[in-house]
Amino acid sequence: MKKLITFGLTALTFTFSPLALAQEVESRPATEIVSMEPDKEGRIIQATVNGMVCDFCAQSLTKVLMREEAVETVQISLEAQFVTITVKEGMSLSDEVVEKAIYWAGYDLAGIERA
Amino acid sequence: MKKLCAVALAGVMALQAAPAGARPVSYPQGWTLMQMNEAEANWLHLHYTTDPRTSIGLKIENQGYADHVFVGGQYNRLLKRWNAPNSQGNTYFKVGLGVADGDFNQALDATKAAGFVRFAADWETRRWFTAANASVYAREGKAMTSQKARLGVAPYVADFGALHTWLMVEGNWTQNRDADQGQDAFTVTPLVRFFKGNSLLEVGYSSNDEPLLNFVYRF
Repeated sequence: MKKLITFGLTALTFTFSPLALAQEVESRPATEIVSMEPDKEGRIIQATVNGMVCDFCAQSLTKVLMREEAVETVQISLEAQFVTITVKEGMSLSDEVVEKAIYWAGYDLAGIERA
Repeated sequence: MKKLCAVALAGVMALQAAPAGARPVSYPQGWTLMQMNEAEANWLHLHYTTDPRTSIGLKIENQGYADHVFVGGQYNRLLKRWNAPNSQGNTYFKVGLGVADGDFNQALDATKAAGFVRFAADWETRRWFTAANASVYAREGKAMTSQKARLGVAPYVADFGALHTWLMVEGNWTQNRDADQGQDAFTVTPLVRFFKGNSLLEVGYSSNDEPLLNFVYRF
């Protein structure tokens, strides 16, 4: 009976989870994003992040960065350890704000570049 | 006590329907639901992260073999995090306070104040995973200790958004339990971990013939 309840609860939980929903963020390498979207020139920030080793890490970082009003999109490459932020047209995002958001998500900024 | 468990369980289940990872501290303002059904215990933990180092939540834990059902609050504190270019390490302190039925098989049965303290550590790369924790559970003069360790390897390294798969083995040591209850003092559980997006699922089977079915959801 205990095993039945265990399986039942887990099946129910899993059924109602949005596991199959589309991801908010694509996983293309950040360098590719810059070259493919020239219209966003000047609005791209590439941050190298230490400690970003799993999907949960990337999800956290995405959610925290997306809270910034100036952020249009966030794209992450776990392979390259890059976070690519596109800033909304006409708005700005300072290095300090990016660093604080990354720290707030639980990670460390290792480097930052603007394209 | 059973009514309290039922209400708390229903509450946690209801919250799953809200817009929705495995760490005890997530990102600020993030919620995490952890439902663990392991070799010797089943538990539900719902926590809310208040700052990058702290989360608070509710915990319902049924240690079936130890005759211990705990309901209460849990405080999780990230003691130290090491962020390196390709790895991350963490140490955590967790404490729970509430009430418990059962008495670690000591032939007493009443609802009493109870609590637990746990130290946990993990280190992972995108290929390797290690974790360990040590816990002390107490219920008005009675105590039980438990230690766990886990080692995992990813057969392939997936990027963000893809399905991540891990092969893991968990060892669980328990003390101060009644040897007549039939449980092992040491169990080994091979398991497979899948995670994608906000959801994590683990499936395994322990050396004492109990299934492992864990689920974590962050929202």
